Amino acid sequence: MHFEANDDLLKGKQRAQSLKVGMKEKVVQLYDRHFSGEDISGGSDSFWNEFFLLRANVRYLQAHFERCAWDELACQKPAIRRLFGHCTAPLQNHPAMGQDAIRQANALQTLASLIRGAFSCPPTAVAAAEAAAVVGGGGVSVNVGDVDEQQMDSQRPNHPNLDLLMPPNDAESIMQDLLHRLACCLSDDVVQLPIKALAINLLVTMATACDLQYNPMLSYLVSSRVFDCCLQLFASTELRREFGDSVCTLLAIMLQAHRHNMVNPCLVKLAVLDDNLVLNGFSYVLSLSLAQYNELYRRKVREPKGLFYSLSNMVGHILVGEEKQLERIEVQDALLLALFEALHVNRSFIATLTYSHTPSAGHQLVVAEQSGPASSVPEPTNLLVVFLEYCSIIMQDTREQSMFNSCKLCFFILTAISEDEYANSLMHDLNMNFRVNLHRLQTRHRAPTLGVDLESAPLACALLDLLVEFCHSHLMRTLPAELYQSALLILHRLLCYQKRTEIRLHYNWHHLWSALFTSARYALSCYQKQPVGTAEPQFLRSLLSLVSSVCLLLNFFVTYGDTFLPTCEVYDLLFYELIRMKSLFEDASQLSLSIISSDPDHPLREAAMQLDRSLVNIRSIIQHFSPRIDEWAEAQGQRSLTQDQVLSVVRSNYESLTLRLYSQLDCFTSFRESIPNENAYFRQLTRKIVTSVRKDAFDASQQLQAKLKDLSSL
Amino acid sequence: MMVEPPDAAAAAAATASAHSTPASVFAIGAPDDDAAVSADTDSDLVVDDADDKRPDFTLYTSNSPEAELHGTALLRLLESDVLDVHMALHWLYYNRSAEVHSIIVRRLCDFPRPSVDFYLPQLVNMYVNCTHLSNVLRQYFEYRCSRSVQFSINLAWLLDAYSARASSTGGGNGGAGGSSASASGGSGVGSSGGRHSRPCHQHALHLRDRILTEQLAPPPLQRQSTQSASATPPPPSQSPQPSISAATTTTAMSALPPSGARHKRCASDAVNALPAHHHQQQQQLQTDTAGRGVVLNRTTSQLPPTEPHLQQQRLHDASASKFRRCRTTAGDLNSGRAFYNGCECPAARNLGIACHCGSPRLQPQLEFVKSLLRLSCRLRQYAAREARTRHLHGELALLNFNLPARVWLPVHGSGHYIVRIPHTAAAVLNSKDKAPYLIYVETVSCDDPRSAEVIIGRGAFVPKSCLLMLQPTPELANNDNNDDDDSSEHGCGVGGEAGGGGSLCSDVSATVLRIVPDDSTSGSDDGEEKQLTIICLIFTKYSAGATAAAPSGAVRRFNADADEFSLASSDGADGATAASAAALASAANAKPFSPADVRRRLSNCTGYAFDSGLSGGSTAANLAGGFRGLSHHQQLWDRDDPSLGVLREPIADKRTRIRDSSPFGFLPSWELRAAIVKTGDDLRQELLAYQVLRLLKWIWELERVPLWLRPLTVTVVGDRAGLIEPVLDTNSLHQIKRLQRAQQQSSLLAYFEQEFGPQNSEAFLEAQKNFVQSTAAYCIVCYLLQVKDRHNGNILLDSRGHMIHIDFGFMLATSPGRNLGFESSHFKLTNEYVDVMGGYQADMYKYFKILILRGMLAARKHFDKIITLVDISSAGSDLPCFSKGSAATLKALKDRFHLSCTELQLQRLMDSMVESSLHSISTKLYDSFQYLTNGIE
Repeated sequence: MHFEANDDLLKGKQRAQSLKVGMKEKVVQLYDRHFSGEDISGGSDSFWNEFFLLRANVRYLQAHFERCAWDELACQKPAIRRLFGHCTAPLQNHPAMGQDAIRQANALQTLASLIRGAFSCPPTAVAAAEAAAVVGGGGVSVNVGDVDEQQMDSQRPNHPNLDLLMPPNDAESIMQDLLHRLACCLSDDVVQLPIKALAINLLVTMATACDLQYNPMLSYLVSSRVFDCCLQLFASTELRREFGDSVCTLLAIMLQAHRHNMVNPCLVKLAVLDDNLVLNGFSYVLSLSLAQYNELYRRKVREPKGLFYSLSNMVGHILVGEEKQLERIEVQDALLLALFEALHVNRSFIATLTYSHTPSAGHQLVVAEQSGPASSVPEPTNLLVVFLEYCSIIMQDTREQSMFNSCKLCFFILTAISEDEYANSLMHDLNMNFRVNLHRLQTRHRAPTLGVDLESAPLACALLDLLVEFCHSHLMRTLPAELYQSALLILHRLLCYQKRTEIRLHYNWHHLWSALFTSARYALSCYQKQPVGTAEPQFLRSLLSLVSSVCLLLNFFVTYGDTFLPTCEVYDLLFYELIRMKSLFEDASQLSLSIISSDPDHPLREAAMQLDRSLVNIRSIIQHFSPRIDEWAEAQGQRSLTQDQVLSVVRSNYESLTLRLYSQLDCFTSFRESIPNENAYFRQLTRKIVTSVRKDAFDASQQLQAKLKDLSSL
Repeated sequence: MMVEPPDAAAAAAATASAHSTPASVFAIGAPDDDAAVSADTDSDLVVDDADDKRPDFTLYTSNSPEAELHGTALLRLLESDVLDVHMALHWLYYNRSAEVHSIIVRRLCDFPRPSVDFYLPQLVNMYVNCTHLSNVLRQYFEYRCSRSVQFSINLAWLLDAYSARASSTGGGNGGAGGSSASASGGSGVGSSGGRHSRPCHQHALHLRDRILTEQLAPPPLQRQSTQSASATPPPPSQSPQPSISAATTTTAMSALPPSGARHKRCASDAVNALPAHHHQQQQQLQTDTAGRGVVLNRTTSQLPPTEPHLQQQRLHDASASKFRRCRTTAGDLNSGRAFYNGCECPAARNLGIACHCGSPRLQPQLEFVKSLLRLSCRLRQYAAREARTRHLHGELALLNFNLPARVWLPVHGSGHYIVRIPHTAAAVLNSKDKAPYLIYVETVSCDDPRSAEVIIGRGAFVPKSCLLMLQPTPELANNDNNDDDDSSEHGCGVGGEAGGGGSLCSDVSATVLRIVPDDSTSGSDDGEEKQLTIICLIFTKYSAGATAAAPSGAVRRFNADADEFSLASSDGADGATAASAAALASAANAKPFSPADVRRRLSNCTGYAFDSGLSGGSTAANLAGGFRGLSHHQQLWDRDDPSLGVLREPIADKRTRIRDSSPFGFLPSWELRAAIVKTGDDLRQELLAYQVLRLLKWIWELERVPLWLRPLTVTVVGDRAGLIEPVLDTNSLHQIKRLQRAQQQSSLLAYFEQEFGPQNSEAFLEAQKNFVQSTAAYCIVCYLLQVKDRHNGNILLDSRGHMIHIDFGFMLATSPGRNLGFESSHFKLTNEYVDVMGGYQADMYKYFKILILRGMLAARKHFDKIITLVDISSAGSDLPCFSKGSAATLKALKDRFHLSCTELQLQRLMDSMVESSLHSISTKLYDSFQYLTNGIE
């Protein structure tokens, strides 16, 4: 940030100076002459060859486009198109050595700048209409908010911004040619790393040139070979270390293209990918980035927390509002999205979740300063472990919308994982134990625990812990019922798997029940606290369905406890807890009855009936045991009973109890089914990603430029 | 140093036994258990047809005068049919005549190779330590090396092992030097630099290096053509013209020396020929590249004339990069081709022809074993066993990416190649400072791994059982409806998912993709079923409107009740709650159930509970149950000892489980094999014990004594590393006792009853018989070899009741605890064992004693073979078992055969030994000592 600001300042100074002195960099002079319509080549054939030996001035080009209004740009259209065309020429020399490499580097930079520039300027409505009319594909109003999905296709060739760069009639072939060259550039071993970096940056620029739905280049990108080449990069240790993150981002964006209205060839390619090396590399890149995030977070938590520190921090926070933003480590939504798509679409990817990434695989946390008590040997870890820790960090703060969205995505990923048979079998494999460092939010009554006496257990235990932690820590006024609901869904899937395979986890189920009770109770109290008239029914409904989901899960324990609970004592304990939570269920029952009986058109009637139905068994358990316990207490002449005493009563009174069997308790809707419902969410998420990536791409491009300067010759 | 040749009686005995056993009978390579070793077809290569004649060893015969021979009788013996491998070894070692040596070595070539290979450690030891035999043995080694890859590799490892230790101690290199040598993989490439070897071992290291640098490889055939054809990637438009490559072939072939000259490798020639040969290779390489240049020039000139320079350069670079890649991938696990030697022969393309392109023959296997050993070294950096296990799994997964490859697991012969390593099945074994580990590998059998048709293609590694196979929806729905009625009893299987997939499938425009492996890559012509046709993906074109109408999977799957449908889809707005809605929907018409039943089932499932001590005393200790109702795999999982769980799973179960989950499981010759990889230990002594056990087993088979032994194959890789064959399906007595303590039982007999049934049942009797036969056999072994450190962790029981002893780290002259004589009894025999046999009065106990006697008598009859074996091994050896001086050790060993006793005397002797062992106080003391110090019960 600072660096950039400084540079801007510097740039401004330079520009001022240069204007003053009338001295401009040669390439800048050429740009100016070119954009003013002059033929700078002077008829010389070799001019353009030499032109690209000059260092491209990314900043100047960017400034140029920002300076110009749309109409001005429209005037410069032929010049821009010509420059664009010449830029593609050096890319044909392949592989690039020596001078060619310099030409290529500059051409790639120029291309990126042109694309960024051309798309940075919003076209006027007239221009848009004109551009559309050139090919005669029916007037598409591009900058109107929502584009009709059917018209997306026809919109392809005649985007006004794209029109600036290339003649619409040749757009197809130009783009295909360009993408082909870029793909070659990525896949060829001989091409040097800086060139590859530039090529990837150009691709990212193209993919994020504008909002995903309106990006005309994306459809070319998606149907080109680029996607395969990007994937292949993961197979090489060196390349994935170098470009892993940016390639992941690129892939995530490409996968989101046309998500909802047509088949995305990238999705198909990703789905059928079965090259272990690539998949492993992919998972490795993801886990490396997430692990880096975790490491940064851990370091942040470890920072001294004295009174003075917090005071100064507070002051600093007030003074510099942005400081906090900087301090917060960027959440990598793009990576999460890539992970989600990979998991969601590719079945083989699941297996890489638990592949240990050992140091010998070149897996080293490259956190800049290796400070702190560096453990001698980094423990091998895997994507799922890292991801669970990452989730625990993300979950800590869901108040902001962006964090909420990230958290939601995390839950999606967890759902996809928990739904998969193979992933489940990995998570429940008793032979594979892991210590997962789950972070807990510091609260008043609880210090943050960090990696102290972690017990190593199958991953399913860690996931359960994570869910329990989530349930306990998000009891806030605006209860994120949606997230709670997905947490319960994940839980349900895990239980279903355990029931099906009869795996008995060494887990302290007691914790889980108490989390369930707490969330249900809080949801109820939330409901009751809502002002009567004003609360929106959607929220109220979600609260009710949350309670009924909890009840269903408890029913699951009661009904199928024999298949996955470790001992019958645990089963007894469940009844004990249920009876102990008598008031909670009575409240819930009363609430549902009051809604049902109040008004036949009550908006929540449906939800209330659902709740009522889910309570049937629990109610009868309570009704069955409570009087007997009271009786027993009376007979013993004791007012308060110990847990053991209650348990003994419970044990002796099972026989006369009959419950109802909910026949579909162990079934769930496939998560894949519900994805289309989330289109809006994904669109929003992608938009945010694209915006931030676009900025990053520009920064990256400038940094690369600086790096190229350092290299005297490529 | 030299022991006198045995007396005439021994020689006579040797001849007698030789008469009774024609050489062909001695098929050590073909024991009942491992067909793998017998299938050890020695991987003869294509060259064999051309020049399978023996090397010319006649040089010495002409040099040495006739008079030097001991007599024509010996000559006749050596030339006759009665000469078997044992006698050959005997005379080779004890006779000092050069002529005899050369005759014997010549005869060695005639013997079946497995039987000679049995004595390979002895041959190597002689080669290393007996200078007068080096020359003649080297010729034999060279002869064999040029024919067999497996032999070359084994020989290189053994040479490394037998010369390295001696030299490192001789040169004053401490333990650090040794461990660093083992860290470098033990295969010794490049490790010779740091060693100061004594001159007498120089020749061994030299030979090893020659083997490893492929100087003993058979001459490459047609190398040029294949290389030039392969090194040039066909340009996109056309392939290089055949005429051109043919031309380069002929020019290159002319550079080769006349092939006959090189096969006739006589002593003087061999030394000189090597550098020359090397030089030739280089020359070939040069001509090779030159030839390639020609090809390139020609082909490029025919390309469209756009920028010819660039085109040429590009091609050149492309080929260069390809070349480079081939060079660098070997051993690089991240490349996915770590065990690929760059061979471009038809073999590489799965045509079933052995490689003949001159690419490194040994490299893949060497790299494979090296990476296994490296892994073991790396495991040591972690203290915690979990971290070790995790690391192990991770690295094996990485290794997996490089498979299938033409590599094999050394302890199982070479009749197979490895297709996959189920990495999660591997386990780290208990050891604090060393980190031995157990791996299972999936193999496919073949005649010669080097020419095997390796399945190329990385199949999906999600188990087939977990892949959802798509089926048309209606059937699915029907099935599920049937299931549904008793869904509380058995789960819905993958139904939940499949249902989801199914309904997806039926959606507007579903595309189901199938991947069929390309015929050209996995070109198996016998029409093997291509079960790699897994695919599973559907892409559905969702339109915005379709979502509302799309039925939710759960509803579709379970039934089509209209009410439920509406309920589910009304809530479908936030599909999250759909599941609960569907689940609730039928609550109204639900069947009743009783929680009492649920609880009863639960208590039945979790029959007995481990005591908390076993489950690590964790917070979850009270929840830790012993799970009888579960699969074996989970049943005995123990926090303290994860390897226990891995080892306890019956191999048959494991086999099916892994086969089901493997993408290669469908192959007909699929097999699961296991090996223990160990570094930091000298396994040569184990190897010696293995050899003695094999000899005894063979002797008893020959003499029809029903004694049962289970020799464990050992592969020595260098001096501080190796692979051991694990005994599958066994529990150590320690584990058994631990388990029994958890169940409040305390005797071996109770364990037998629990495992095999009541005492008069057939299974019990069978197990008892096995127990008696194996115990008697191991008693003899323990007595003869004075095997010590017999705590219960070193004694195993297999699933049929056999007792198996492992770990021969202390034998002959050494015992733990500075030889203070902790274990003074002759062998370990406790009252518990006798109880299993049925008590002191039982017939089985008497049978046991008879077996011991018969076994001793049989062993005594062939004692010379054992003595010879041990004697040769002791020559110049620094093994701990010879630490008290080889002559004394040998004499003591010989005395234990009690050659002078009559049969009756021997019987009395053995009986008294059994009695004294039973009542030995030291056995009990040692057991309790082990319990107190190491926790071994």
